[in-house]
Amino acid sequence: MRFLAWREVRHAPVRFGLIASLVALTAFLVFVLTGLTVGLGAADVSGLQRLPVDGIVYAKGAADDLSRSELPATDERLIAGVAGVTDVQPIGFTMADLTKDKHSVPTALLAMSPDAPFAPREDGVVLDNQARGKGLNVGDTVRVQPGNVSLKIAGYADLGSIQHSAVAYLPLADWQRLHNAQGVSAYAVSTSDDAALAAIARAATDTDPVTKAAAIDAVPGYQAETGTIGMIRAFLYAGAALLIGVVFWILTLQKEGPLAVLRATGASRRLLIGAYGTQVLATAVVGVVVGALAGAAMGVVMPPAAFVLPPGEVVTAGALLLLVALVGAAASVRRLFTVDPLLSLGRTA
Amino acid sequence: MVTAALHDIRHGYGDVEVLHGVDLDLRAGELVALLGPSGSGKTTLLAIAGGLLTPTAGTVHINESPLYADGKVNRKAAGDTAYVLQASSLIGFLTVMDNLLVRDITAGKRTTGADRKRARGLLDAVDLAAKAHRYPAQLSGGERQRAAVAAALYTRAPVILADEPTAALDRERGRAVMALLAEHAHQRDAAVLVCTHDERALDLADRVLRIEDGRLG
Repeated sequence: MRFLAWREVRHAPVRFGLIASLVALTAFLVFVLTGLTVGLGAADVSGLQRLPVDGIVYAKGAADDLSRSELPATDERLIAGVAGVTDVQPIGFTMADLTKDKHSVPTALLAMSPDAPFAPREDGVVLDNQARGKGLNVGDTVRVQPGNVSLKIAGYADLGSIQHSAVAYLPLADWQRLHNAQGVSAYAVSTSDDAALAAIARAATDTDPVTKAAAIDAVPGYQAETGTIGMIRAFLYAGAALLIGVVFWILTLQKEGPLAVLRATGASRRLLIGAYGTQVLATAVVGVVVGALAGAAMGVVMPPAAFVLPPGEVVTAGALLLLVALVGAAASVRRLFTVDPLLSLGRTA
Repeated sequence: MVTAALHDIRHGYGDVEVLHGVDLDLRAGELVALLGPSGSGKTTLLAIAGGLLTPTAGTVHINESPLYADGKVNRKAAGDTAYVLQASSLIGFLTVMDNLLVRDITAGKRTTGADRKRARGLLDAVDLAAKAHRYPAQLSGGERQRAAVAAALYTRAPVILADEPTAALDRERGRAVMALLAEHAHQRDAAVLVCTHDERALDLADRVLRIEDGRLG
């Protein structure tokens, strides 16, 4: 079957090249959208994703939004006393600009105790790497607005972002000074079992504990952004299936004559389907690989924070596209079953 | 010895019956020419003899094996037949050489140097050895016709069924093709049935039959 498949491809390289290009173009769109989806999602929530905790405890009525949540410092003791809670860390959160001279960098201030196991070791503000090159250097004193408090830049690290702003870690005491308050925004908790979060709600009745995944989903705009692009991706996959299916269907129409001759010479349907499947798979693999390479090249020229194409996503999207190509092409397999070998003789009886 | 035996063959398209109880024996080592006008049932009879079209009624035996049983084609018996297909029916994406070898390849046989040598010899016999690596689209109509003859003869099938094999050829080449088919029949002990309008080379046939309105004369 490889013989027939390859001979046909070799005889019509332009035709199969165009089909592969079409698959490549579709794959490129899928990979670019995948990169944008993951990038957009990461820009919204990667700062939370990187917190090595199991849940976030918000204030009741804050709609799981760090910006709207305020809890008293006294809740820490109540939460820590709940069975199954292994660690509690108070966190403060504010969207704020760090300014120095004419430079201003919008940030998501994430405050925590310097004793927290996942807090940066530096004393001062630690900025995410994406804020590099924006005029704020290590050792600089910056003004935090709103709050008008001066803080020192202690370093840069890979901290991610929240709500499309680079995360800036700072000591909880500085954040409380900034807000002129003793409370915190929320508590990050580590638990040994799933029931602990519900137990926290019972122990501290002013709280609304949620899993980390739920906290991420609740970040303002995250669901809407990823949902919209996810829907576009779904339509793109459906469009790709239709497009690739139609292209291969036309291909089988063009092959009716040779298929009839092959049937007349005794070629089995299994052989014809195998040859056809080989062509479809080879064309689709070439198209997907070219599309993935073009997508990766796109990642090089796009801002790193806006476009993220992890290898796992590439493999998943690539496999899905191959599946879509095979499903699309399968629609025309019926023609291989029904092609009449009599066509090879003509019907001029 | 009868290689292909067609008995009381009837076939129709819709309400129109085109073959009315045809009996035909094809013997090993003979070339039978079947003459008849367009629409007389020649190609239908040929298709039935080769396992491409199940007759409405009647039986076909190839080397004493039934070609049709329970409405299905006996693939083994059908494998003992080969067609000289019409010129346009060569496989366009295969070279002339590959069009000869394709039946071996589709049957899962690994072609050898000896197979290629034999194929080249057949192409030489039809004056196409120099064009073995061209595609059908690069040949003239007559060349394609001769390539189709070579492809059928390559199979060494005991029954060769040829549909208008001289239609696109001039007198000289037409005779050469008929001579080749006759030689194949005599030397290989094959039964060759040639459907044709062309009466110029009938002297090369061992038997000439006429078909009109679905009846053998």
